[in-house]
Amino acid sequence: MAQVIDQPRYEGYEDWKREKPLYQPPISGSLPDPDGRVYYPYFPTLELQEAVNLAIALKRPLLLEGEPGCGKTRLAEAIAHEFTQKYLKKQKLKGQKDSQAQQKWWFFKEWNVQSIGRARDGLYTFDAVARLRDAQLVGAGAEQLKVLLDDGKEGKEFADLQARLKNKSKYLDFGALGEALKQTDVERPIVLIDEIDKADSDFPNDLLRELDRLEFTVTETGETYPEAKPGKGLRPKPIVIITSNRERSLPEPFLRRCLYFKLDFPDQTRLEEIIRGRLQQISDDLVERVVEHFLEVRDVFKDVPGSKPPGTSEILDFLTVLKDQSVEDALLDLENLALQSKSHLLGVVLKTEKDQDLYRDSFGNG
Amino acid sequence: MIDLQLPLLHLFQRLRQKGMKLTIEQYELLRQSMDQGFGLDWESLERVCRVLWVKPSLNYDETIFQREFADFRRVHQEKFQQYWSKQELQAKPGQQVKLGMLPTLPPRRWEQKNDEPQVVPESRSPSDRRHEEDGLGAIAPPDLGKPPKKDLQFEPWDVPISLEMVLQTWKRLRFPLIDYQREELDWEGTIECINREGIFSDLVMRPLVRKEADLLLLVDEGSGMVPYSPVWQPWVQAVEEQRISSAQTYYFSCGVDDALYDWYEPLQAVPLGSVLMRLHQKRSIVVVLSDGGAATRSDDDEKIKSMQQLLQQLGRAAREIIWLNPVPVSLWENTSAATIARWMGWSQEINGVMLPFELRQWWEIIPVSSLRANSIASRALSFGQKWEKGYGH
Repeated sequence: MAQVIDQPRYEGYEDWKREKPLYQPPISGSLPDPDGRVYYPYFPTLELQEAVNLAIALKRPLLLEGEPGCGKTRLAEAIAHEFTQKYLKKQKLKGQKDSQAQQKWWFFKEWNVQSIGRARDGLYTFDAVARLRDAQLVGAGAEQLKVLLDDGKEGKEFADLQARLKNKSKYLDFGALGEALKQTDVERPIVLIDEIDKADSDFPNDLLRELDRLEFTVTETGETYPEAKPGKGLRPKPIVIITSNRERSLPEPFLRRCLYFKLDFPDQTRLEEIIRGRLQQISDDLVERVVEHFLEVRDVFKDVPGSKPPGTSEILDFLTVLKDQSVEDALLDLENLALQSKSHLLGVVLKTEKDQDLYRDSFGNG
Repeated sequence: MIDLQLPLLHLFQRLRQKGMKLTIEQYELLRQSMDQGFGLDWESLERVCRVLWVKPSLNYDETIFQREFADFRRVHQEKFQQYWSKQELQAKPGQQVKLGMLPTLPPRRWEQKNDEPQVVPESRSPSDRRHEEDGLGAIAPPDLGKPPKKDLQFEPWDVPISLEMVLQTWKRLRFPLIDYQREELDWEGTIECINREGIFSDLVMRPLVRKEADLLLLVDEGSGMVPYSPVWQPWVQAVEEQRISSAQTYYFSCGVDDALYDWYEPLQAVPLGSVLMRLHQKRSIVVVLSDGGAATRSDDDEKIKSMQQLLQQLGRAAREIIWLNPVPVSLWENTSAATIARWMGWSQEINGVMLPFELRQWWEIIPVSSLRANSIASRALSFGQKWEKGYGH
């Protein structure tokens, strides 16, 4: 008999294709979430949407690769925003007051991997310094400390200090992945592991067990998360999105555990759609000309090793700068972009002197 | 009709035959996806298979996938179309249609005796056999086996080393070393000391324990090593697949000049100096895979000299050198291999040893978990009693 599995489904592509999208944030950006993030519309392809839903259904991490600026990082935000909107809608249908529901955002954490980062940092850090300090304070002598901390009264702070010292868990600080994995009461938390290729090559291998079993153990305390809660049923498995710019190749055991999706640079039509979806009141003619031009630039740059062709976000930034002037002036700026006097504009899309020189050589009039 | 229990097994097996290292677990993922309503037309099915099976690695190559999927589609176009039109009415994403059995890969043929006939399991039903013909369900075992064994033919499985053994070895090679010259704070010890002696107690320090190692793999590609190429394949594979992190493979031929070679395309000489620059005296372990002239029975003074020079330079820059010789130790005598092995044994300039592959437990000389102060090479020397002629001395 067919068994219905109740799991969230990402509708990003279908939603933005609707005449009036249901779950996309406004073009000007959403209200900030509790972590201060503001969400903007996101336009996935059908293929990407399907890959996300596969990762959700199979409870596997989704590894996204693609050139910088193609929207890898924004995908996790888009999923979190859509699921929040759906959640709010569900609450509304259940008759819960908006004021209560508005407080609730879908659980979403980001882990920005650093080049010197260790895999354990994303799970937890153990504040050994604080523990040492507490030990020193306790070692200073009880009577003296009671006077110092509690003004000689109840002795509560001193008691807290002693209790804290005895309980190692008090010195734990959970990282993004750790937070997501230890959740037992929220539905499918989302965690983004951003730019995993920045870290040491051992880094992905150090996460194999955690990504496989979706649990982790704190060595210092011996505790395993998520804590088993008898009678609570299956614990929610996080939706893990991992991005990589492919600065270094990832080990095979790690790749095997992930679903993989390569984000290609959008073609002209899609790029125009993305821009119109992100920028208000912008001339179609200007969008078309700018997109056409930068696709040509990308064509030239693709044969030059080491160059960084403009990505979607750079083209969006460029149009954001141009859109406040008249279309004629904007087009003129585009035409004269190779001139030294327009260096400030060129710097919006091409970030190195070498790339700018290459542009001037290829597109300058003289 | 299509058997949902083993959908696309034929494609899965073809991809494995063509070099994609797909696992049963990855097949199971496809089955689960289809159970949940993904892949209900050719385009969607291709997308699903691609997301599950293609990765940025040569072992999960997109080109192989594309070609094989296109072939599969061409052959089975109609049958799947009929199947989907029926299924579309029944299944939607998010609904599990039916749980199937986990497929089991047929046993690898090299585990059987060569003269044993291939037996088709009797448990296969007529419908299974029909699916085999259709390419839809259970299908004939993939041709994973090795060709009939010929005399004097070496295969990776003939030599006493496998990828797993390489990884085990590496794990052992990079176990923690105590660095007595550097210290770190012993938190637990300090806290205990403060609790015991009060706030004015000293910090407790302990020697730094490091578990860092880089591998420099040097593979001899001289003519003597040709029959032994399966010996080094697991090592090269481990490096290529990033199973050993921070590792680099270079090739050389006996009679080394001032360069090593990156392989194959483009064949590029890398100055020895730039390789040495990347080595670290406390971290780098050099593994040399070479017959040292034993395979061709050569005893060339020039080659010995050049190898000694190379080893000296490596020895100065790296932690230790392990030379693995695939030729049986009894055949080393009167060849360059014997001279180099003896020299490595007594030389004060390098911390290294030549070990024969035939010594199947050679890697057991490396302790598993205890911290060590002495090197693998010096342990090998004491262990070296086990092989004759005193090569370790």
